[in-house]
Amino acid sequence: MFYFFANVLETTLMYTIFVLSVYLLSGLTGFFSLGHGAFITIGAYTAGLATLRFGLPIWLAFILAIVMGLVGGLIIGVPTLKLRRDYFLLITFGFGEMVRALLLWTSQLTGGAMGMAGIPYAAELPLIAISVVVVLFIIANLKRSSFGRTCISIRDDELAAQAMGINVYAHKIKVFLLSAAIASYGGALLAFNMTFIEPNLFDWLESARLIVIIFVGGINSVTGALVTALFYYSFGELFRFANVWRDVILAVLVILVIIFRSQGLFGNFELSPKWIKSLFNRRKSPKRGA
Amino acid sequence: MDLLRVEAISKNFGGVAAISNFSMVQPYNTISAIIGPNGAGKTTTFNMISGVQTVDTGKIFLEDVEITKLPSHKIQRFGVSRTFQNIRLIEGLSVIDNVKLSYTSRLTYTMFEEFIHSPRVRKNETVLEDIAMEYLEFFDLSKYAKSKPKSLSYGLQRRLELARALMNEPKLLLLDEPAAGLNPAETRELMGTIQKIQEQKNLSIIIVEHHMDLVMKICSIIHVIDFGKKIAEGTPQEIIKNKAVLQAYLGDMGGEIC
Amino acid sequence: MESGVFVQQLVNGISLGGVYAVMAVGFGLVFNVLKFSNFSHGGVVTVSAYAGFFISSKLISSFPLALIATILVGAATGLLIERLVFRPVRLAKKPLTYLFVNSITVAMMVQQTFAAIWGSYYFPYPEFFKRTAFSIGQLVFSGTYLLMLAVSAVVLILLTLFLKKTKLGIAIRAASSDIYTPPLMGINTDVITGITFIIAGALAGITGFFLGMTYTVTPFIGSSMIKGIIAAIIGGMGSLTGGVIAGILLGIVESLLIAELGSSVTPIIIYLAIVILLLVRPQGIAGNLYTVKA
Repeated sequence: MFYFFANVLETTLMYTIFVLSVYLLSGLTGFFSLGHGAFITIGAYTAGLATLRFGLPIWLAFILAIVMGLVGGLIIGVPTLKLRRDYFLLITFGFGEMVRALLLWTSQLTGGAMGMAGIPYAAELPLIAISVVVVLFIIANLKRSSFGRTCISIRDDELAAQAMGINVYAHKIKVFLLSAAIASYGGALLAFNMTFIEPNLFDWLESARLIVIIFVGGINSVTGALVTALFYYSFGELFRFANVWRDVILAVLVILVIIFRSQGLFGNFELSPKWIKSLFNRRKSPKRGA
Repeated sequence: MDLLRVEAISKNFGGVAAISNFSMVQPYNTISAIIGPNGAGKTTTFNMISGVQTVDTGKIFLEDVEITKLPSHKIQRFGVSRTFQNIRLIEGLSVIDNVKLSYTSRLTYTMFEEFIHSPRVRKNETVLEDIAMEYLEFFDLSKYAKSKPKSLSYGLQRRLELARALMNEPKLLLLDEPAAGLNPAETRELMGTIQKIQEQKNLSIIIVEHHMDLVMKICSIIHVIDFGKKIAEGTPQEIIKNKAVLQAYLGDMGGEIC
Repeated sequence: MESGVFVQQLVNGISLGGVYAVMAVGFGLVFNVLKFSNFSHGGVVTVSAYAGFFISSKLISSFPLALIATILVGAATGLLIERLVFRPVRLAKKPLTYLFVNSITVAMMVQQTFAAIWGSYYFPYPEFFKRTAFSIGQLVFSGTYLLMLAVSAVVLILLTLFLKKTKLGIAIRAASSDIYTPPLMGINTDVITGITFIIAGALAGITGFFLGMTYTVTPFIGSSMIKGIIAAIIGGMGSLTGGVIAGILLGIVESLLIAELGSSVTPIIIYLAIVILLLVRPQGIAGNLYTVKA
């Protein structure tokens, strides 16, 4: 029983990393990648190949996974981030499909459709939990300083952002690379946790789901992305029988949220030490202060 | 040396000339205006100077450095700030964060320091907060610092855009129809503010307007364009007597000159 | 490649390309009017593929009538989605981003609903004709493919006539500047949007029917919309003619590549080619680059 819950928690937390990587790109910066799963796949396969086929140590596999994610990000980002957002969206969609096709084609190396089994089990709960905390810490820090303000300005009005002295293109590339790096790191974690990976692990729908979750939480709230991700993925793991229907429920929820509360369930709310303090203060002094 | 020198710039949209062979010189510490009827090419001129749109032919110099082909973020870093005719504030950012935005390129910390919110980031952010607050106070906006721009009235949004443009400590400030959407009282107040900014900050300002009377009192030079061509240049007194100008305005706007 | 095989693959490619072209136009029409990438188009394709199966195997055995009924289902689904999911966002004048997010949500919902209900069933379309192949000399052509080509061609010609000659069609093309501007030529934008979705839905109906006939009906059949999207990108987003040309080209290239190199390398080459094309000519074959106005 303990193992079951540990397993649920592990899976949930790893998917939370993916959601956070997409939050940076889609929530904060307003760019949608329907091929973000490709970076997760790249990370997972790099990790798998590095350890299984090349016998490299685990830590090096993690680094290589991030490097490969960055390389993929550069290949896709440099030509497309200059263009209108729709092109970026559609090219990333194509990129995701291309990565899948590539893995199937190179079956001698990757195992093709049969997947890759026997990857060392090296990512246990503590490592995964620490990873989530670190990623969350980084993203929350970015959001509250210049980086985050720049992201939001690009999301809302690229032209105005540029006129305010922001190198929009360079910043978009930074965001995309960072997001790709986090996703591929998460992919490596996934490979080392599940020990089996296959090309169809992340199709475009999986990438779409990551985006949609962010909109339920609200694009201005990391807390929202975190809570929605934790809720959605643990729900799916705990109630396997409802696995297919949970997406339908999620879809209905998304549409309702977008129509009736487009700022998301959490709006601008962020869980911060300050907010927790204010909770206690409020309890002490029932008068409504500032 | 002049602050800004524009040499015969032109811009076509699908074969139609939005502006052709426009030249002007902007000295230091002056307010000037580009006026003309709607669709005369004023905003296009501004967009070219600020790098928002590319220049087809001609050259633009800022303090004798050519900026013709530079993208708008580089031009801003050279000290040219602008506002927009249709107010372009960032809705997702609070009022104070909007102001901070135009200071971004001057911050010295790196992305990696931001990861851990290093002491240097914290220090920079505190200083930035103070500077931004000063600008908000200058425009009487400090009490809205944490609100979203959308919750502000139109007049306050105009002031916020001004604050944001000034945060960059520009040498040249470009104001695109700053009075659009304001009532006469707000307009009068705004013109006073613009004059005050010019005197206090020692900068040069170019205003695009189509109502001539707004700029009469505060500008020393007025450039008049009509159908994409410059038809007159001079002091307000000269312009008001100019026949070509009168014709352009009377023909187009039925004597809305004063 | 042998010349006989080449001609056969070419014809197959053109037929498949016709289906891609229909998809590209359905996707492009909505993009033109509302300026967002409408992924719910794939959802309508899926609904139509299933509807086509049930109609043709349970209700109507005649090919033309079953096709028409499926087109009607597609059109109705398109309109329904517009009214339920997009219209509230449109009327509230929310950013286009939200339209896009709703569209991927619909695509997800359709796929998962069908997966939950009929995910593990296999749905083959009935054989509409006794003769399934025609031979000219040494060459053998698939009847289904020729039929697909004929129908796609007729539909695209009719659509072009509609868009160029009728008042409504012209209004739809004119609406492709900005939906949030006041009504054009006396026709309400709400009506124009509705009609655009009906047409796009009808096109998705044709696509779904043909894809169902050619492949197996699965909940994932809508994902083949990517081919239409690729065609729309190559053609230049928003240019319908460009989309048609690109769709047919894509069909030909794909068929020839598969025949020559196999089906596993083909997608890789195609996606690479698109990335390179966008590097060289971001506006596609016939499109204009959309730029933001100051």
